[in-house]
Amino acid sequence: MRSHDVIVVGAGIVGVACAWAFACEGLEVLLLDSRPPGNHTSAAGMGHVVVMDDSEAQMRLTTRGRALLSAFLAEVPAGLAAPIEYEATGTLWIAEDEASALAVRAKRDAYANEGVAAEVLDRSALRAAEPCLAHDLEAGLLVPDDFVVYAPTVVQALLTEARAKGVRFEAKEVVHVGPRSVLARDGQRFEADCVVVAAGESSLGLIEVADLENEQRAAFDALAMRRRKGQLIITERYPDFARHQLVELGYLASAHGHARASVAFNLQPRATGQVLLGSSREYDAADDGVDQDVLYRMVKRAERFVPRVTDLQVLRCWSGFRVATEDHLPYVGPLWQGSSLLLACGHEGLGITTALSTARLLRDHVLARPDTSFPIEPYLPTRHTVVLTRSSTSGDARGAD
Amino acid sequence: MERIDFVCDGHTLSVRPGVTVAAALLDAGVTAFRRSVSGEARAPLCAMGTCFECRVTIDGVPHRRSCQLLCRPGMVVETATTVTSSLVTPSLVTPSLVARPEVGPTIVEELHADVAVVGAGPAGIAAATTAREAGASVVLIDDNLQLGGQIWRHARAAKRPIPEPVKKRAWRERFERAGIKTLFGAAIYDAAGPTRLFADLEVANDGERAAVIACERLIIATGATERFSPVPGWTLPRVVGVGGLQALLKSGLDLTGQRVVFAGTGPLLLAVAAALREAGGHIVAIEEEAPFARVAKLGASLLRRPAKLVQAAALAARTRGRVHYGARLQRVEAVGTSLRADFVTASGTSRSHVADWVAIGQGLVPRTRLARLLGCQLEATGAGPAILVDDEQRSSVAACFAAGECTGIAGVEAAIAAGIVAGLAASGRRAEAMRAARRARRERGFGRLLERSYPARQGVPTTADDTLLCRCEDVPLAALAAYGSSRHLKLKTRCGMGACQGRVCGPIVAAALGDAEDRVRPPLFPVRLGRMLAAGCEYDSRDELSRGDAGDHDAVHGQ
Repeated sequence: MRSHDVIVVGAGIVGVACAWAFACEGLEVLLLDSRPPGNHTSAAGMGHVVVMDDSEAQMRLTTRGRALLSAFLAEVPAGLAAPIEYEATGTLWIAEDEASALAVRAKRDAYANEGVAAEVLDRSALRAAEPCLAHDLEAGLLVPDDFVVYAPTVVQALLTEARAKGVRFEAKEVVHVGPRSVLARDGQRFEADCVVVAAGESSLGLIEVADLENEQRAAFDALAMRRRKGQLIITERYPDFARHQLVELGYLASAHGHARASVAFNLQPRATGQVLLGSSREYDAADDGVDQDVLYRMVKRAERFVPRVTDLQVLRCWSGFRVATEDHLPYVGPLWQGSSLLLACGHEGLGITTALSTARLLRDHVLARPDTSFPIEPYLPTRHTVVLTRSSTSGDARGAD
Repeated sequence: MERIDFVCDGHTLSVRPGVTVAAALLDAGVTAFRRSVSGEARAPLCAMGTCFECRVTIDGVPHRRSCQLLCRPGMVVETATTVTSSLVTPSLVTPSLVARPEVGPTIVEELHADVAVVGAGPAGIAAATTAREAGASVVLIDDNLQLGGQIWRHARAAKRPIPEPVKKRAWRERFERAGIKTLFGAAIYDAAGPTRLFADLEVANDGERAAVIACERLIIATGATERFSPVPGWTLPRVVGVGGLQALLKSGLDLTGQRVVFAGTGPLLLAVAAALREAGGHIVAIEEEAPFARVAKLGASLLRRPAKLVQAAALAARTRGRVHYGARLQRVEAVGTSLRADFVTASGTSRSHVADWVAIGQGLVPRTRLARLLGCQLEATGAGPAILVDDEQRSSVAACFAAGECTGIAGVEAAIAAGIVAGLAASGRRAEAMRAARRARRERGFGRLLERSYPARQGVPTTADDTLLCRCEDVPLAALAAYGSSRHLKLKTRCGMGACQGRVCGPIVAAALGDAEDRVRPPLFPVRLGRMLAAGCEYDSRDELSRGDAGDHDAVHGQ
């Protein structure tokens, strides 16, 4: 049987980005997924490409990811089956009251440290920048280089590029992955020098634990991912309704509350003129149905920031699942030290932003040429195990979205 | 005679009471009701609330379906005709919210009934009446403003009087005697299971109202919509559905002296053509795709059904000499202010007709979106997926029944028979329901016969690749070949993501790709967020209370 250099399991945006990155280095890559590319979690979100400052590691991953995606989109050739929907909206973080207005400045400083452009807007500048906002909002932070994409078209473009560089995509349902081999439902076995598992919430379930030795098993057992359900609302076309992606500054606090379900205001003008409205986070949701109660709270929250949002007509509501780790950073790297079984999963709500920086980390790891300015360590699946063996100093395991 | 004056694009129009905005605008010569996302002028196709091509701005509110709304004195209508004259780029033609008046609080009313019936066509009327006569309290809900559904659509606004069908009159009178609560102009946009429905009453023209319907049993009688097959030019104004033309006629459109070509397949072609003649219009041609031999076989089988034979003979007499068989519509082109429709036969002969209107239709598709939202199982039929029901019209979901065309296309008689069964079964009269079910089975047999005579087209439509498939998002037919499943196609090209939510292109895609349409998500109809909030508030307060937490829902009513 022919062996590949790399097999990537999962053709969401993360898997396709990895396949493309490896192929760019001349590696022979096989990409496997039973479903069409980019059809699952990648298609369910907002496509907001955003720098997040929840932790230093998250800031670096999102900043790099945003820059890489921006560069990819600038070079993407014309003549794709479907054009990429792209909107340079920036992000406007909004402070509801004086307390959060102070946080705006702190956030600006944090961004400045990483070289991310951000501008503080006072009450009147905020209104001038975004007339649809309520008049009593204190301040805002404009991050002009954030943007919005329609993720399925980005996945399609990445896949087209990856194929041009020799990546082979096969519609196969994978049932089992090992360090150097992958078994499909139909019994076919594929072999490679290394295997990347980028199968979202299915990722850990694909690894056959019986094959693992003691220490490997301990590393594996330290991994945990949970599903966080989110709901979105999309409206008819209202081209002039909003100019920026609008997010409440309390988004992170809201995202990490302990309530069964939390909501935060998040409004996005799409390239089509439609308005996409979020957001909600719900652990351990029973099903993927649209929950009226959560929907209601989302709209109430949005109305606080954009009063006229209630005039818009809703076309459709849907839900999706983000897959989150304990510390809200993805698992990127070998399952245990030295393993050729690599993970690229657990990106929670940031998979679109960080797909290309994830791919970059894995590429540099596999080619053994680490980038000292962008170390893989904070994202290694073994980070929990490492913390356990040392006397832990990282009590600051704050979340990230 | 009473007239209603209103303003459209700066001109005053004067119409008879009961005329829909769509009919009034077409009468006034408006062709660009809206601009499509690629800038094409669009006008009504279905005229029954499903295609969303007739959207205009009314009193500052954009995206309103003009075919569903009646003209009101003093209303201000804006179409794409004026907007394009002041703005340059097509992307800006959607009217902004600037002129939007402040809206008051939404009033939510709650209705309780033993049996709720959704759909006021023949099946729904029969079901509601039968259930009420059996002692159940009943509420009948429909998004139209009067009793009748599509086939029995009211015609009070018609320019020339259209007599009420004898059978409809009998059922209407019986329905009225029964004393049934009705909720017209009400679009069910969401449901928390079959026993709790949320309705938007915007169409009812009486302010900011929403309703919550709580019932013990639900009967879905949502009927059918038209199936279309894309050809170049099918998006041109005045290319309308066959059923759509009839709906417009009944809604007040004056077709006196207007020339119409009928193209497609199915018994509706003849029926609407006959109605057009009664209304003073001119039948240029009726181009039935099915070969004569197959339709003749249907005629022969009618010998065993004298009543239907008489109907068929009457139709034949009224459309004599105008019917051609076995040719397919190839394209429609605008020629000056007229339309030219080109046809080609199986043997390759072409012919063309010039007319003012081209009425197209490929038969009917069961309307199943509410049933799919509720999780009802569907079954494959020749006309597309239909709600699966047992002999007592029970669906696969508890407390949810279905009757009529939404369970399979079989005509008025079968719909009435099935409605009776559903009404009896839903009010606990099981023995009577079983007896009535025998009649219903017989009537359904006729439906299957029709299906075989006028089969729905399968496979990828054979026409130019740049012909539009999805009219809401302007996705070309070429996209069909590039993606293997409905969902994939939708995600990658936006096909079916627009305002109609795949009501028009969905059946075409499903037939071409041989898979199921993508899952139904709420809302079933576009609904104003504020109204959803109001109904959600009711829902929320109930939910909160059941959890022992009062919440802050009191504050919501006032906003």
